[in-house]
Amino acid sequence: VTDQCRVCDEPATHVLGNEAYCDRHYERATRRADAHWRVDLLSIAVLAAFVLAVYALDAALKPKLEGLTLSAVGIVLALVPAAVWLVFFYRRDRREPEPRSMVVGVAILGALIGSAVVLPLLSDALDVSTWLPRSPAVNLLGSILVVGAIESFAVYAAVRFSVYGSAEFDERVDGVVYGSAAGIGLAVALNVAFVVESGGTDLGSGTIRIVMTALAQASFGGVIGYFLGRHKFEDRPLWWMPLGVAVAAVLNGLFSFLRGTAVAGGISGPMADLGPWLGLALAAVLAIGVTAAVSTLIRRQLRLTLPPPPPSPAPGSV
Amino acid sequence: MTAASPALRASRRRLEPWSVAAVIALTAASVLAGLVLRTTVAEGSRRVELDGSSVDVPAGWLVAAPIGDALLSVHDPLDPDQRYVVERYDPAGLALDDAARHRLTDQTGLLDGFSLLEDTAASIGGVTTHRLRYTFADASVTPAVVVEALEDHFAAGDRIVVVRLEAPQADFAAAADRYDRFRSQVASSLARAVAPGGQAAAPAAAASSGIRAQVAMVGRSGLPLGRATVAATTADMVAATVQVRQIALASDPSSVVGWGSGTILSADGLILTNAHVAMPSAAGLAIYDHDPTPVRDPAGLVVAIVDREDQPPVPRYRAHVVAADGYLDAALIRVDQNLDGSPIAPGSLHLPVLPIGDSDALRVGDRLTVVGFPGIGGDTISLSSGEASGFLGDDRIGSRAWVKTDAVVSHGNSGGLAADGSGALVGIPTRGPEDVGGYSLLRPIGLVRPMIDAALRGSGSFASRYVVPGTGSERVSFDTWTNTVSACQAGSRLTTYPSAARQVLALFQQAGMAAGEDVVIQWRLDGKVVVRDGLRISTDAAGGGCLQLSVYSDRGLPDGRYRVELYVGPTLRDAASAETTVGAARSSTASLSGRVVDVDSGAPIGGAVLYLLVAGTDPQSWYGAPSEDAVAGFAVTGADGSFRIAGLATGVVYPAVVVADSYYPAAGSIGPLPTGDSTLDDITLGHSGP
Repeated sequence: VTDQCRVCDEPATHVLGNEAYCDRHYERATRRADAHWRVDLLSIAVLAAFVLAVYALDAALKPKLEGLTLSAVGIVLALVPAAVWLVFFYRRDRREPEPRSMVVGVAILGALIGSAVVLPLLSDALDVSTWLPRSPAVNLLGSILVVGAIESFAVYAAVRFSVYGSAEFDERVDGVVYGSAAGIGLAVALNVAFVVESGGTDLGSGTIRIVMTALAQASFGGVIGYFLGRHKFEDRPLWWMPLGVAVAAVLNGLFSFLRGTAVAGGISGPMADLGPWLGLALAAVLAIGVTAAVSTLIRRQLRLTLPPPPPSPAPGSV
Repeated sequence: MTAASPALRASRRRLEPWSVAAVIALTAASVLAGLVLRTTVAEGSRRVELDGSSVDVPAGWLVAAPIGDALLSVHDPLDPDQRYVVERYDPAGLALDDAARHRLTDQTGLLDGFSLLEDTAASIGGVTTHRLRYTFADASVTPAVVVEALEDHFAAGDRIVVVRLEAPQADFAAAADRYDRFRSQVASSLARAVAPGGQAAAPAAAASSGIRAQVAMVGRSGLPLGRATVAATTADMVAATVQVRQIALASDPSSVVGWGSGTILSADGLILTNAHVAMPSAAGLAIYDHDPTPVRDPAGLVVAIVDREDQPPVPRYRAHVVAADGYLDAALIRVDQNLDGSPIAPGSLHLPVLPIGDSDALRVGDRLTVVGFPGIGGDTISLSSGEASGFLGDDRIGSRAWVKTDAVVSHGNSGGLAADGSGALVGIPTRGPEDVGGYSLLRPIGLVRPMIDAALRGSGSFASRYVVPGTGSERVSFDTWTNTVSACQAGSRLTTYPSAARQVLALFQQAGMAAGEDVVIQWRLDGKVVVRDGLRISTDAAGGGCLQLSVYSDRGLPDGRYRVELYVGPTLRDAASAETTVGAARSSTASLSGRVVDVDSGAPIGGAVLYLLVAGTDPQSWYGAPSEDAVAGFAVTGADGSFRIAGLATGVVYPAVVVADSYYPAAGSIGPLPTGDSTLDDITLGHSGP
């Protein structure tokens, strides 16, 4: 092997797929993703506990919040999932952490694009809220084609046109990290808009919505990141990235559709009480499922592209 | 095993912009497809039947079956104030413009805060229409919504069709854009057999066309109309105008309770005034006004003469009624006594007289002078001038039933003088501007001419040609409340109606009436008179038949107690009445209240609409193609998200749909409801925003 490492231009010592890597970057590119599992589950568990805590607090104290106070509390609540997620992210990548500033930066970029472009586009220019409820079919198609596509593109753009070219984006899993960060940023923008628009939030079900949105957007961002990661480090065909954005858009649209038609409205009886919890369960299942799928895909990809029985030492166990 | 060559990497770097471009292109294509979808949804329409033809209405809007005059009524389920309505009515011999205005006046009984914005001739794709635009307040929702309405009346055979858009004023401009296509479709599918000039063809009904023919003779029959050979001066007009005072005690000429004006027609004391001044009980007046409220005639009439223009008129004579035509609101009185009751010697009176002009020769724009005692700006005589602004028709009198003028006319002018440019009497100021959108109405002198001629000939009796006297043996009895009547049989017998019922219909049976005889109808809502109407007994219903009386509102009638009263016979006696309730809580019915809130924020949702459907309706499929007929009742939430709906049946499970702007609809079922008030758990809706 006489090539240079595709990341750092050091002399390459390993080949992965069609790409050459130096020792250091080969180790990174093939690192096992198993450890992330527990951290992801833990962060979801912490958020669920957060929701329960706010619920209990609301039920116990029944605070009478109004106006600015209510809005302020709502905005703080909107930021919590992002903070939790970022803290856990930092723990997750402890061995070889991405620079915190870059991850936070991508999240902020996601939030800025979200509030400066995505929200005005969806709410004002395209006015989705007035025509999506017309029928279930319109809701599903519109959620995917308009809401999903625009939000997915925003996440893609937040990563692709910022950290994607940097040397810190140096392993496939980094795509998932940055994609999720951008998704979390977008979720903050959506949540703050929700709180401000409804003039505060119901502490119980409003918190559920906030957490739900954050989890879901993080996982859709992860999907885009997965495609971006492989796109950067592997030789993928031209349709690869469009496919990634499309998959995320479909998942995103499906999520909006389910949240909107399946569980949101209730006229009387148990549906009205169950609605928000069903929504949380749905979002959790979707988030866990999508995250699990992304991890599985990364691991399988590694298995497929790694050279058969490595001499020594075994990759990933350094 | 081969590593990527530098050449391959270079080619990949070249390809990278294409990858970015592909993502952008995919996103753009997707959003574009979404926009097409949005347009399809926003502009989507469905075909509905309209009088044997069909028109496109916005998909998802509620369609109501024909009822009363309404051929079609569709409305946005999210906004009951946004609707298209097509109605068809009988112009009763009126020209298009007059019919449109009359219709509007009739329809405004249930509208609060009515305000006319536009009253013009227009055209829809070559069909001449009379266009009216107005606003009113929908107070059935809190806070009340100002609704703007745009309606076009056009001729369709012997009927007139009105096509109307109603929308909250804030959304009106946007709604009007979309409405254009619907309006054109209605015009092109219904405007058939249009007479030249856009006028409604003469109605086929023999009764009305007969009257029109009669009226056309007025002014050319009888004695030659007086012509002013020497122009009367302003002083002549003032001198010939008197004040006609109503007194409460025959013995006391100073017991004045009201007054009008009059014009002296003959030197020996024949004076023309209004019937509502000289003889409010005159046959026909209540019929014209559809007002059965009993009135008493004054105990006596006193005539006051102007001695000095800057002083109030001086009471000088007593007078009695010679002839009156209530329908024309005209009366002739004759001076017969001095103020102290002493008789006036024949031949001793030499009152100043004004020549009678030719009101048929009046043209729009001709100068008119109005003289009388309006009672505004003091008690002295007042003169104002203006133009003949136009004419108004009436189904019995014809197209020149009224001359409209912009001259200042007020209550005390009633019965006074309206003179043309030569100073000749051409009209009687009869109605002030508060009755008809800014114009005052003069009764053309030509119509009164037969009565004057009869009086001048000394003929003892005079009968109005516009009113058929009652037989005096009319019998009317209430049959039932119902929704449909066929061959004088009610389809179903009802006692009450649910909330937001669009129509209440009473069936009465009658006997002993003459053809052409009038029935005056009065509707009360919670005791307050809301609609006054009249009908004439047709030839085939003379002697016996049924009367179907209804009030309807395609917006849903307000809840309350409805009472219909019928007045018949020569004296318009109270012959029959019936009462029902719409939606009002009664011991045997249920009512439901609750709130609609945002599922996530808990914030109340104002303007949400709860539809309770007829039992057995599938709410999901109803929402796909909603029809008004499946709606048992509905309520719109106030700003605090609360609603209340009354008059529901107990023990019934109502399928229900709740919709609100920018929220996903919720469907479910409510019930069975117990008797009395029930409160529902908060209904939650999910916001449809990103």
